[in-house]
Amino acid sequence: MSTVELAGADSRSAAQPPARGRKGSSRSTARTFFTPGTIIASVLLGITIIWALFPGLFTGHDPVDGGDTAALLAPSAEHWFGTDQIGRDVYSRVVHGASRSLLAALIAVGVGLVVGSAIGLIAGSRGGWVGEVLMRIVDVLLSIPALLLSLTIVIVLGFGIVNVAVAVGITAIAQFARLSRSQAVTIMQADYVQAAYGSGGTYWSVLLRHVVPNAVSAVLALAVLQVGSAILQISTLGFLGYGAPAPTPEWGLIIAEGRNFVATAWWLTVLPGLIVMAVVVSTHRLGTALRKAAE
Amino acid sequence: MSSENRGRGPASRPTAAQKPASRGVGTGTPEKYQSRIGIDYSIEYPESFARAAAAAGAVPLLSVRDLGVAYTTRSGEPSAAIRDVDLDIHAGSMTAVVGESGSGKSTTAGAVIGLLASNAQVTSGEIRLSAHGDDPELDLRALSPREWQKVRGARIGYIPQDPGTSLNPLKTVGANVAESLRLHTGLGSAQRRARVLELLDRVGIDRPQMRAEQYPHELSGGMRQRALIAAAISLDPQLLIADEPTSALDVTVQKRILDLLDELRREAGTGILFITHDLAVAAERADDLVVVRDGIVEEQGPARRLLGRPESEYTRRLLADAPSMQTLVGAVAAPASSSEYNPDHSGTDRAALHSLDEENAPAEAGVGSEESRTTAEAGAGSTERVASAGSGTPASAAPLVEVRGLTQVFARVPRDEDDADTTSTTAAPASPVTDDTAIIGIEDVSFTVPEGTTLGLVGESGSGKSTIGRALAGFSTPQSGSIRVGHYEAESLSKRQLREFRRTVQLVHQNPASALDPVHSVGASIAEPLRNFRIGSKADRADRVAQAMERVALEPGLASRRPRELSGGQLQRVAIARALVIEPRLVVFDEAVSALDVTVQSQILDLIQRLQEELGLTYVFISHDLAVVRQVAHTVTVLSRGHQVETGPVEQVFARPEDPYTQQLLAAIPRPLDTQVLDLQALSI
Repeated sequence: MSTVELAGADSRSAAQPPARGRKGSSRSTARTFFTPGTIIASVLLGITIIWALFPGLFTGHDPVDGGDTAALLAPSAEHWFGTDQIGRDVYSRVVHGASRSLLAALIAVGVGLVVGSAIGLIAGSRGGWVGEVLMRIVDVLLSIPALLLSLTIVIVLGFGIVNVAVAVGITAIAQFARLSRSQAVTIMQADYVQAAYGSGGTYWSVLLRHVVPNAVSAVLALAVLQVGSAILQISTLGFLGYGAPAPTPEWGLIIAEGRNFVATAWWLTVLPGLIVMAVVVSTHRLGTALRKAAE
Repeated sequence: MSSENRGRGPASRPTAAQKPASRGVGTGTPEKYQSRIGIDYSIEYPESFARAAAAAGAVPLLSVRDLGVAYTTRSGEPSAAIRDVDLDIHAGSMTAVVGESGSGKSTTAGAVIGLLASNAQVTSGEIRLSAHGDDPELDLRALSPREWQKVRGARIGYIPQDPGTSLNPLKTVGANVAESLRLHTGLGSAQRRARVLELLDRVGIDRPQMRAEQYPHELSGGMRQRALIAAAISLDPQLLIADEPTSALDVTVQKRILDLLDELRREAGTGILFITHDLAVAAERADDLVVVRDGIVEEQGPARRLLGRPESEYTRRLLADAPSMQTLVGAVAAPASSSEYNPDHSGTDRAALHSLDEENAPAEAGVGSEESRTTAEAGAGSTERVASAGSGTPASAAPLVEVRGLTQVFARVPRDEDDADTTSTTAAPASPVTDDTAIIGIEDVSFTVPEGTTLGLVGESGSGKSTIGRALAGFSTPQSGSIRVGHYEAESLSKRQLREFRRTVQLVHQNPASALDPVHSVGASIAEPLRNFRIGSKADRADRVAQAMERVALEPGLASRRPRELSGGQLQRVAIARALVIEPRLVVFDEAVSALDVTVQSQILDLIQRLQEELGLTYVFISHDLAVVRQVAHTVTVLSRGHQVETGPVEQVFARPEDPYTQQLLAAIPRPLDTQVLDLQALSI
């Protein structure tokens, strides 16, 4: 829970400075972007994505059916992360779970990105009572704790990984709206927007041609940042039992099932937990680097 | 930037380039910094006499030899920002470093005061500050951060560029000024306060008690700059570094600040290192000029020699391009040809014409003799002038623009703040003109612009000139009054009409870098009006864009570039091309050349004038720079605090200003001419 809060707070503060156009050459931008940290992060994230796309390449074990394998085996060359209480290979479950977790995270971020930036851009460029009303709605969203909000939404929508993703996405709307609104407000004050109106532009042509392209880099950087916290939130919901039903390999669920054996078989929770952590930290690292590059 | 391996003592010459990492606090003995200011040392020597004495004094206050500064970039290759810069500043004299943006002039100042950016290093040369009273001679390159603390503020004062952002807004003006006293002396708070009041009084701030209690935002820009000067001289430094101290100020305020600096150096014998991009200011005030370009000294020497007989090609170009210097250049370059002046050349050689106006004003009395402030007559006068000018512009056309009683008042303010600045110790003529309360906005402005001519709108910041520009371009609806452009009544347009109106009127912004969308290619920016009005097919638009670019002397191949890949001058050409691509009849230039370097500015002005002749365009040219307006405008309207104070043909207004405010504005233009012409004659004969 506290981790969720932290990640949220972090990305919120990251959202504060709007992208200020710095005129560095693209080569030096590339050089600042590829630090050892971002390279490691990209590699880790790349591996996870390949896991999600081709899980069969990485493991021969069945993630759902343990067969006659002994339960609660310690990590070994055969079973890297050991086996769980009914003899399933935990590494295999983590690999197969990647696709679900990543897909859910993408859906969540997509929902937040599209809805949030639409609200924010219109609020920021329109101003007036339209903007006020939209942003007050966003304030309401922001005032409800993210976990509580997503739990409520899952209960309303029904259980299941897609619903969880949508719920997490709705909690992310507020941040996207606030960032894109602040972007839109600064962009609307720019001379080039006035010049665009001056050359006969209408509200929608200015919004689509000038405001959106100029706001997009900062918003996309936030989106990458949000992927990490979405994975975390989805795992949290899975852990609490709101996600995929039991036999499905899903990261939160894997950790939740291993929880009962923490004293005797620590690897069931710790190793999948480390994977989740590595992925979250990697996306966060990349998101931060992208945001800096966007500025 | 480590300070550990630093050489000890001023004499040792460390091999590695170094700079102190931080500025900080230091302490000094209170006695040492007791002020001499307040005691009037000034004796009215003739100027030349004083200079001779200074030269005889031999040891310069500050001596910079072969200074080189390099910026390390991420690629590891250090790039030299300045190379082989030599400078001498004598006590009581002013040395101006003049250059365009990016020429390294601020880097020079930063190196002298030890405040370079963290990725910059002094790579070669020496910087020496001479002994002064009890203070020893110092090698400024070898100082540790701790030693620097005792030098900055105490021995070298610094006046920053922008008075708007250089005072701490959370502290009172008094506390801001007292800061270096607090850091460097052991004065008690009562003594400090007394000293601050003395200083504020010294720099010409009236009612110091009251001002010291005010916060920076309550003071005008000129007064804030005075407060900064007070802070800079609080410890009576031997050297003042003024980094573009007047660039953010209006021309009349600039004059007063420059007068104050002159007074300070005369009385206290302070040497001033003056950094500026404005050759006219430097030429008017400085004893020695150093012209830098791309980090190399192009030319240096006494101001008179350099202005009278510039040796470097670049200096000559700078002189030729600076609008306010053109009188000077005209006088120097063609004293003989001025007698065979022919009115028919006015379209092609305005510089000569203006120089003539300056000197032979009475001889020109034929043009627009019945000057009047009413617009109808002003319009007539300008038409008359156009007719007499003959060649370039179509004679007597119906006015394209007719503005009557335009009023847009944002606020009325009781006017005492700014006047306080006027009635200062400096010798500026007081009493601005407006009779009633000052307003923010504009009130009862009327003028006409005949087709094919240029109206200059001149005024200081806050005079309302941009408000008029915005109303003309259809960006705001005035509270009352009428604006007619062609057959449009701009003050009462429906949304649909407004869009059509934009095909008639285009606005060119001050800063081209911000007026072009950074994510669009410049070609797309130029094509945008065509897309908005659905003119032509896609291929057709590309042709028109190429044509428009050729018209503004840009290579059409640049169309695919992004704005950040182009220079400021090229960007302004793009902005002009965008304005012209839908063939408007009226173009409003809102300070369109103010953000550009002089050489670029002169090219853009040439372009604007050429386009007017080719396309028969009508311009409204808004500028704070009278020299620029004089160069491009046919008629001029002078604004002061929202009121129109004078309108007339440009020659008439500039040669024989009627209104005291106009006179004051004109007097404040830095004008090396007045002093230089005599000197030049004396030198050459």
